[in-house]
Amino acid sequence: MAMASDLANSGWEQASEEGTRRPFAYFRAGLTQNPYPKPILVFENVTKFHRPDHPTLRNVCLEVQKGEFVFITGPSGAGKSTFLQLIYQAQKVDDGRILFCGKNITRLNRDSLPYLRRNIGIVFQDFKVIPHWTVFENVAIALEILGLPTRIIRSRVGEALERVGLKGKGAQETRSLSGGEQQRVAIARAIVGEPVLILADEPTGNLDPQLALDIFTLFEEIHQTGATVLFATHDHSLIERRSYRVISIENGYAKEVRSHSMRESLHRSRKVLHAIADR
Amino acid sequence: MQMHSILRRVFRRLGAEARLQGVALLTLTGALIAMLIVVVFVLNMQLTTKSILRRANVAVFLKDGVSQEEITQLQTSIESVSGVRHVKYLSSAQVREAFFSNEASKDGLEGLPPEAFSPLIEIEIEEDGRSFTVQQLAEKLKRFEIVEAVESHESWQSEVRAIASIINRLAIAALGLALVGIAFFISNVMKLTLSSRKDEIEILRLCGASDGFIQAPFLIEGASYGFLASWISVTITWFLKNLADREFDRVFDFIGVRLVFLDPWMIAAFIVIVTAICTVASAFSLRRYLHV
Repeated sequence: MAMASDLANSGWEQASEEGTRRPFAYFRAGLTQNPYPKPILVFENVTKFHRPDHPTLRNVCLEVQKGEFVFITGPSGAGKSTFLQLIYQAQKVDDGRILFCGKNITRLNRDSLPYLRRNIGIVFQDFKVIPHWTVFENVAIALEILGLPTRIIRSRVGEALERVGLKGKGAQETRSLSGGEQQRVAIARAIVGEPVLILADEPTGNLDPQLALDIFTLFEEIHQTGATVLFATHDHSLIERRSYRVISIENGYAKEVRSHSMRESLHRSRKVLHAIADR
Repeated sequence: MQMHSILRRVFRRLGAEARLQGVALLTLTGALIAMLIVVVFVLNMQLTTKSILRRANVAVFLKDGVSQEEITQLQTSIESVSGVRHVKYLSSAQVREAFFSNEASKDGLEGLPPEAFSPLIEIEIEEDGRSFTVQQLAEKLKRFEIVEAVESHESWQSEVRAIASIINRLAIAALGLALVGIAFFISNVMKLTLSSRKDEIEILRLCGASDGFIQAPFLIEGASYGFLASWISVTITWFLKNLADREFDRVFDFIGVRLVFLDPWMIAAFIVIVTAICTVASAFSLRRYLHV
């Protein structure tokens, strides 16, 4: 079973030897043996301007540990999306640096960007699925990019669809699905490559409260398999529901409004992993 | 990069953009048929011109009362000149017979005796590989005492050559322009395709696709347009040529020329060139417009 092999590959291992030749190594999700690992993501005095007189982000400093679930919150237009876009380098920082898996990603050139993004699963508010492709094709593309053989793609896409509750819908055209289902397709695409970091940019913004809760629960389940999740939302009902770490962005400043309980989070994740492995 | 993944993405678009792809293929095929017709026309024109020029003879009119020995001597001298393919002596009677073989020449002239026609020597000259001009040969022949006059068709041949050369150059220019037009057309088709797939490209980029992974299906699509359109156009032009064959034979039978089509090597070269141009035009378009 793929999940069992994931356990064997747990930690910061590279997916293949090829990874060492790439400009940016490929990391897979999973827990390390060290309960206090190195931070997966570090923001060091990061500043981003969209207008010269009004920085969107000012001297943001924060660390995200591997296996954490972090809410990024703040009012609309506060810079939540910008914060996430700086991580997957859709935007460049104006000052400061961002370390991802210990590497300064603000200096990555254009050719290296794809290798960074293969380590990150991204889910958007507007789903960003290709409507005329089937559900299977939309999810499989993430693995095709990694160059995996068809047989493995088929089995891993099947597992991912099962995890998001879309088992048996692989052959359907994505445009025929409801909004919630389309968001599940996007989540399946984000997790199928088992990236070390999942970025969710208001993934529940277009969904009704019940669907939003379902999707949120799905992210929690993904987190419990070892993935680090940054979940941007301004939906306080979701934030209040759980005791995860909360970072609020307001007027360009990022402040921690609720600290993480790392030990508790890791303990829970490990319990889930062991349960899956035993199965 | 996996070929089957690229091909899968190419085929996924077949249904989604069938209209654009169909129009592009039809337009390209139409342009290529026009190009091929020009190529086939030029090819046949060259062969016909060669054939006409090859058959252009020099006629050496002899004085009356020339002995057979003198004729044979002159005939042997002419045959020894390199570039002369064939030398034929026609007596006065034979010239008369040849003259009246044409119906139009008979009106009122049937009474002319054989003596009214000068005996002549017909010289067939190689069009290529000769070391003299027809004019030079004519001048030399005129120095023989037994020669009354020499009739060459040098000026007429020069005109034929000049016209053929002009048509050749015009055709080459037109073909060059057509190829540039095809490249421009494919480039624009790719621009439209890129525009319609902007979202798809953005998603691929966000998933970590490299430039090569994103560009490969577009390049294959461009090459496929060129390959398919060139094949279809060759096939259609070949059918058109077969349709025109009978009419051509009727008109040009008197010079013994048959309508020819491109030989297999030319067809292969045509397909390769068109495919290459479409691929390069697609690559150029991707480089210019792929900015997601």
